[in-house]
Amino acid sequence: MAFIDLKYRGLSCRLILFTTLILAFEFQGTVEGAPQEIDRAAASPSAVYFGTEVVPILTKLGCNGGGCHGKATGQNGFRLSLFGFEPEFDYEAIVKESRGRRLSLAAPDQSLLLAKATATMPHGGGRRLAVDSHDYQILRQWISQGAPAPSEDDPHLVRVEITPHQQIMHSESSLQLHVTGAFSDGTSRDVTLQAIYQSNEVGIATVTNSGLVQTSLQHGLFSVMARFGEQLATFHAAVPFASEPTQLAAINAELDKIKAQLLRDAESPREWNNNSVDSHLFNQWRQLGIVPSAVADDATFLRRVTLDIIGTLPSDSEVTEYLTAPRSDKRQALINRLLERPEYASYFALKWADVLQNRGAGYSTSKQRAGTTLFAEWIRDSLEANKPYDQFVSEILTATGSQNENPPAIWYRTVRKPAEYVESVAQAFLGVRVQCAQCHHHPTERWSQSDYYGLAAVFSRVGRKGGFADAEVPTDEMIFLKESAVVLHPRTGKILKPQPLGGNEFSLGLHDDPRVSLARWMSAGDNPFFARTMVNRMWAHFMGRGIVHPIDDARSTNPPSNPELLDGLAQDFISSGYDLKQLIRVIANSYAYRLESAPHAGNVGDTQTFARFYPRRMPAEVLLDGISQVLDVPTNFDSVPPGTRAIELPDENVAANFLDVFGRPLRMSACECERVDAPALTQALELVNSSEIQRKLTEKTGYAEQLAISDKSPEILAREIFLRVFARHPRPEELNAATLFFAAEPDRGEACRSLLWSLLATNEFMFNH
Amino acid sequence: MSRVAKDFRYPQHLTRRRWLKAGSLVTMAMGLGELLRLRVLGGELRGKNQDTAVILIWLTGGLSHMDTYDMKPNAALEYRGDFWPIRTNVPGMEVCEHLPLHAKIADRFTLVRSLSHSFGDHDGAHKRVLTGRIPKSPSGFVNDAPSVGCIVGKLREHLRPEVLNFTSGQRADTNADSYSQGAGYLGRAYAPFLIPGDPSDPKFSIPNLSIVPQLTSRLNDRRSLLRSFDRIRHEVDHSGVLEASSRFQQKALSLLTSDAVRNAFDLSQEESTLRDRYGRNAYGQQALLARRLVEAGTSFANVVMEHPGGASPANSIYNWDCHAVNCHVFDDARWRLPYFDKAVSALIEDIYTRGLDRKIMVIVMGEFGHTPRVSYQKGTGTGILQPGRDHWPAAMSLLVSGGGMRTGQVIGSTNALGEHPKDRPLSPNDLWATAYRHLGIDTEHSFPDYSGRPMPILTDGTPIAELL
Repeated sequence: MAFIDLKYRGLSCRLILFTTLILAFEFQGTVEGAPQEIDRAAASPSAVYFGTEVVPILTKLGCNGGGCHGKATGQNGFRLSLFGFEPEFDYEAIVKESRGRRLSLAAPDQSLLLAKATATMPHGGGRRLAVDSHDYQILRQWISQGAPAPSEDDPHLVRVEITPHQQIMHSESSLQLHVTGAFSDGTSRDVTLQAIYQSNEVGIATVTNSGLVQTSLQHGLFSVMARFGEQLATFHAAVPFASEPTQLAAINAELDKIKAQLLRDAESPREWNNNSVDSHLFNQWRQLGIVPSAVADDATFLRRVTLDIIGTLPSDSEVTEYLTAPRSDKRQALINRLLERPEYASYFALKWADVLQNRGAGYSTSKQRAGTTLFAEWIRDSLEANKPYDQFVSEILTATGSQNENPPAIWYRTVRKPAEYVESVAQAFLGVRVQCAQCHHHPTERWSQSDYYGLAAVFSRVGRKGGFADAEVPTDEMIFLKESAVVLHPRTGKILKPQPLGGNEFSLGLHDDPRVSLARWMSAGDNPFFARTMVNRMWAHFMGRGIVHPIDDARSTNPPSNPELLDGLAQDFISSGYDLKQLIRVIANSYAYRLESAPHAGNVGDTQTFARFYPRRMPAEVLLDGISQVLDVPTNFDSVPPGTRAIELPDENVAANFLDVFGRPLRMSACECERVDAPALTQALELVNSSEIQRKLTEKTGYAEQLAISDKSPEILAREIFLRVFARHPRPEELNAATLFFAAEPDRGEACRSLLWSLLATNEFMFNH
Repeated sequence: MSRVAKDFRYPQHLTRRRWLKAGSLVTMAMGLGELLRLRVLGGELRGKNQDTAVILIWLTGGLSHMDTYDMKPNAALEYRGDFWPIRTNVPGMEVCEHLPLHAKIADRFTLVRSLSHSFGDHDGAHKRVLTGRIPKSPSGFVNDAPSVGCIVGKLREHLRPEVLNFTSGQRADTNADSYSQGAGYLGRAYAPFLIPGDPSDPKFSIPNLSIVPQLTSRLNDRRSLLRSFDRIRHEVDHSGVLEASSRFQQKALSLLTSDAVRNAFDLSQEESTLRDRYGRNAYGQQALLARRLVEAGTSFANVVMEHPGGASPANSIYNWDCHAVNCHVFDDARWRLPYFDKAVSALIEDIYTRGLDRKIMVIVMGEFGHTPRVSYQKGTGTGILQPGRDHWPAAMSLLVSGGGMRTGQVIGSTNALGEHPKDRPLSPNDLWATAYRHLGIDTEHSFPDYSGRPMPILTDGTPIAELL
């Protein structure tokens, strides 16, 4: 392991390397406590560089963290740049501010910096550093050398490397990582102890701050990020579910059997060959020793895919028809049928209206608000026509003119400021979160302020005319391209030319709209973000979790769980001409999408590889519509035409307490995470006792009342109710319990209401599973 | 019915009672597991000042400090206004002459006169004060970060699953966002449980908690049915959503079928004399209701005091927003302050009498102060020239009582004209740091926002030492 090039630092450096390894093994998880004899060896006379040696210590000790001196207001008058991304600023703060009293060049040990960090003087942050520890020596040495300032000529960090890079690990085992920093002068050194570590799946593995990885009893994939300075490196690992050769052989045999079965299945051979999804998933299951759950029955699949594609429950007759239809390729046919239903466009338009922040709040008049309806309709029409996705996005981003005449321009109504352009575009279309880079280098990704403001520059010429002068959010605004505008780097003051994330500056003629260049860059076949983000978004919609998770947080430090699968889907999507319906067909026809949600011994604990269906609660609108459908009593919303379903509402500002408590988003961000499925007491109270639910249960023309006055037998009633609510036939014990209840309840109407309510309140109803 | 029963293969002697009994066995069996799960979930914050609460009396529109808690009798007439200060039972501490009941119990509260911030409109100021953060936009009441109450509710949720952790009493046609009580990135589920309307109104009832009469006897049936049909195993879902969803269902049913929480809303259980002492109006009964809710386990009871109810003078305004165009600031105060004086003083007296003064911290404030200098304009309602005061975030006063805090003192001061803090300038976050300390909440704890960025509960603010 050649960690160190000794060209400039001499023998003592070799010793540092040696000691860090010892420290790493013997003093896991501490930042202090290095034995003295080692530290003396470390006290080298060679020059200590502020940027690459002093600052990393401050970072490691947490001095410049967001809860301490790194926050915008500093702490007790001492402020450092967040995570040490601005060494010049930190140098000023440490050496010059406060009349230089933070350092004592004559008596380095008396320096406030060291006295506070070692808590020899009272320090709000407590003792962070042991006197005479290795880090202490470095800081002391830098002070005694006269606290040299960072200079352009100092060697700067070029990259960091992590070893091992990837590894298969057992559960409850540990592994020491080593991190090496390579510098511009050709040297490198071990920075294992100075690096910051973070595990992306703390349930599976944790990492100490000296880089020791420890796996838990859980199985699965995880990554550990190591950061030193502005550079990152990632360690990828897997803890297989089975690792014994005999176990693995049995699992492989089982997977072979499933595959053979699939190939025999009448509707499958074509799929297996054309649909790379299955083979990528099977490969991963083999690698991790996972056996997927069994294939779900027809009733479960029908309900699942209907909810996912059209946001609507299957009706009683659809259930009966599907369950009795002959077997051959009916799942495929069902998917195709659903994609042609008008509800498909409505449901996905709702999803896009969230992401595109088609916000209704904040308008005082219906005239002002009219725009949300126009935009909602435009989105819906685009989806119904199956407009290619790249075109859909391009029409939004490059929109100009009247918002009333060109509805995609309404996106610019909510998204108004440089920060909003950058963050919405990055999160919605590129699947990355760049917010951090507005103020400082992103701590877990390569994004810098130049990336952030370079993207902001793409939108700097967006001009606006008209609208309501007195309202914060005007209505019919004209969006046009201004002649010129500049965006400056907030720190360096340099003019930043429009450029895409991670790409080169656009070459633009005088009259070229940089937004057009951005849209073109996105839809280029080799764009690393655009297609991947969309296929991942759709995958998460159907599978309950993204291949990159969370879906808008792609980072080298947060890798996809199955990169081949993600790439395969993205390539297919691009080759199809960004065909959204085709993408849905590919995902919904996959083997994984058909699996049961219940785990078995071979995949219990799997939350990453889609070896079973991950259940999730229905979105608020789908749930409310579902209840209305079962009880045959529509919801009456204000200010929209009667009969409008919740999934068809033009914006989030149509009053409905049910939707609010069940997590309808306020459309304040482009993140789908704003829609929450966290359960809450208010939801349960709404379901148990709201006047709206009571009304639906008791309305004369409603299903409950109609059943009550019918002369059907309790058994028939129970069968009908189960089919209607759960889209399946009751099990014998359920039929038994329900009929017993009818027998015990003298009031037939009440019995119908109670049974219906109880089934609607079950997780089986509220969840897509 | 008998015809139907005859078709039926099951024993006809099965009764409702018997059926329910079968259900309750299920309850017991599930109860234990549930309890164990809760214990795990609640483990984190256990033992840290759990039995504490905050009542926030929110004076929307902003309390005119110059006419209430920060009198300037020596200032020129156009500043000091119509009113004079009176002495209180704490030497040197003065309040407005229209707050005589405050004056009798000044030893039981502290006035803070040196709070300020920089948001001059209602919406921005609401967000600034109630979230403890600089809002992304100065306009609109929708929070981008959770309000203090949401954070408290979220952190108390697992400790106190059987109660309404965060409630907000406010005007009937409003929602959580109307007063910036929204939950921001915590999600709407953590918005307050709303108590809309005037509790002194005989028709006052709580939506979703007041049971529809015909439902009362049926809830136990439904609860048992729900249990017997909820067959999806919790193991199916590793995110915990499924499990928590069942937990809240059962909790809601417990709330509705047990008396504890519903009783908290039943003000008729209070002594008539005490109800009179609080005042038989919106202010008084809202304050009393807040005390009852906190006794029933609520951790953060927000009370938005707008209109005390009943007839109001023509030159008054609905809430505390005392611009000249809205009202005659002094006539409005003459009418409004007696209701306010009664309600606040009764609440303070009551919690001390009941020995709840260590448990409950009471905060009385609005989103900002009002301009120290009186301005004259034609009232839109009255059509005549009248005095008023505009928005003034540069200086505001508030009252703190209970919470085991030091009382009978004034903290900070404003300059001679009441324009800005002179001594001890404080920010809203210093107040929240104090309140969180009382609640045992670590303000460095963070929640991720929509971009995954960890947002600490407070980024700044120090507990106000004089109160501790």
